[in-house]
Amino acid sequence: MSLSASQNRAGLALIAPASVLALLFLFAPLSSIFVLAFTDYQLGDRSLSFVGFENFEALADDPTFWKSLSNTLIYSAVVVPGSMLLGLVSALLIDAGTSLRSFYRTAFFLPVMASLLAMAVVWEFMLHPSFGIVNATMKALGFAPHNWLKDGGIALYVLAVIGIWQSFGFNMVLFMAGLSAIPRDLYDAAEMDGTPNAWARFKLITWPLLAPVTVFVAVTSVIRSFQVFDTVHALTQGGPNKATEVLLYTIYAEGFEFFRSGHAAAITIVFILLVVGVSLLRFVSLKKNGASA
Amino acid sequence: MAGVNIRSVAKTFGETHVLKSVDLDIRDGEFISLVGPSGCGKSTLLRIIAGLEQQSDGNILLDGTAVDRMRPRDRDLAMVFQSYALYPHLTVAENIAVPLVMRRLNTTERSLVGGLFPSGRGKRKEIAVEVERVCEALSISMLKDRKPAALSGGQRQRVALARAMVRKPSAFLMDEPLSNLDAKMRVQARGEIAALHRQLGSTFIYVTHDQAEAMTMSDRIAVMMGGEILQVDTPDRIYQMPQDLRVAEFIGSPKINVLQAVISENGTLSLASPVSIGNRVHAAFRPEAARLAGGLEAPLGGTIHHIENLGADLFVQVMTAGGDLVIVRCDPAGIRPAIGDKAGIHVDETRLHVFGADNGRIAGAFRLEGGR
Repeated sequence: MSLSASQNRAGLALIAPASVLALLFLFAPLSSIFVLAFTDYQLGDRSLSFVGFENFEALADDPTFWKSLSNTLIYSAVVVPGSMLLGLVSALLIDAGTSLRSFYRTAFFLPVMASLLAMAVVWEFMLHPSFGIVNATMKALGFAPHNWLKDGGIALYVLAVIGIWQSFGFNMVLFMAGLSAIPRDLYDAAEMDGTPNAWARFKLITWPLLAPVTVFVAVTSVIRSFQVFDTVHALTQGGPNKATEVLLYTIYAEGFEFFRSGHAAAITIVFILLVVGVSLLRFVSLKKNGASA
Repeated sequence: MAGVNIRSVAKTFGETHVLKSVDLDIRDGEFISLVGPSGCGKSTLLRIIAGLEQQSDGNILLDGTAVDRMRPRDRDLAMVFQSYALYPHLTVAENIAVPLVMRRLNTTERSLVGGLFPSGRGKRKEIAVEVERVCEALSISMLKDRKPAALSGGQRQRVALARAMVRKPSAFLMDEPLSNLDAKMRVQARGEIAALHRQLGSTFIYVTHDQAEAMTMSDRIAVMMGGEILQVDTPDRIYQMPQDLRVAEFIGSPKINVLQAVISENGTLSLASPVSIGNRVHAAFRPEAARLAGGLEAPLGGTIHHIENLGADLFVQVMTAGGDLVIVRCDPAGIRPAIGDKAGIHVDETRLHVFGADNGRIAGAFRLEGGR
């Protein structure tokens, strides 16, 4: 199909606003990151010089970077399955329930809407070692209290729990949308066909028909978990002893506390590659699904 | 094989009475249609028989045993849904196998590692053989590896039938299985389902809003309206001896002619005008029970309003002086009236139905007079 010149002009005019915005806020910062990553620029400097792969070589030898990367992956490995499972289970329960559906939906979705920074402050109070409600409850139940955010062995997992609490409502809403797209007739048919229990119906219908939603939820959850920053910044500042140092926090600290912009840009590129990799996985799985459907 | 007995089954959703104490005895091996306009409760009744819905009152008996507390799985019935309800991610063969897989394989044998167990493998082989047999019976073997999305409406409908048949259930429940097909496919499928019933000899309970489907396939028809069964009878008797005005109006195409009349002691009907006094009744006759006649001696008459030529039949719509539209069937080979002509209508009084103000049939012989 060939387009006339006027159609071409109209097309260009129509994509212009979006293109300008994308150039300004996406491609421009991204390309400056790519440039900075190969320089020795420090925030506030008047000059910079290219240093080739020096920043990346330094990263390879930087224990903080590796700690930060592994912390991010551990955080992700806890939050992604946790928030997906909790999201799926609560979506299934709300979907099966008859009353108060919108109440539960709203209640579970609230943390997604709330400002995480403000919520982090509330969590800080709840987790306070001496007068926090969490330790008070633990003591009342006969368990030993913990210094949740100052104990290097558990701080990252505490942050992961907060991450799950914050994000499962979003997954739940996505799963609920997916569930509502499954025809009710299928469940009736499964009942007539003799599925012995709810688990068999879930395996026969719900799980396979939710697959596209599950892939989408998985990818967004992974990317969102890579982006953890607010809680770290508000609650632990990466401590104790880098136990909760995560990629985004390291980038922030390197770039805006130590002013090592070149270094921060190099970490950012690693971060971007991770996110792009996950997105590509989704793209591939979508293509596969599309071909078989 | 099973007879189905429905004993004063009622269903209410909040304040709405969807079914008002329905009684129906379905004989073993019978093809019975539940027919009625949408919202009459026929689908609800079918779902109650299936066990997908719990009745508010009354009992369902299968083969003489009450099954009210039984899950659908344990009732040994199969259902064909209007949407076909095929599992979209499974192939045709897998779809058809589901009822057998779910009943014969245990949880471990159904799981991903089920193939590791010799018992599971053996059963899977048996199931594959039975699926193949059903596919051949319905000539869909060549579709076995396709997904439902790659099938036409007619093919999907056959797959849904195959899935219902594969288990050899004691009765088939069908919820408007043909309504998603185009008109031509529907006529063909009607014949196929009727043939399938003769061949299997099982009980078929068939829900439809299409009176033509009910008339052409059933041993008996139950006409439902407003949550009640108005009449249960053979197609012939439903058509020729409707016991209720609403049955007469629902069955038959074009619709039966209904005129307001006043009845006298000796059975003479006079067509009523708004001011007539006396015992008001409905006089009804089918288009083929009337013929056009010369103007004067006929009790009814009017102006020819429209002519529908269906090829085999000519349906002439006559606007009477009273403002009623009366449809008369004419032989296309006979004299063709013209629109605007004056015509009389002669009604075969042996085929005249009279219904009281309560819609119930009034038995007896009647004479129709113009009376205006």
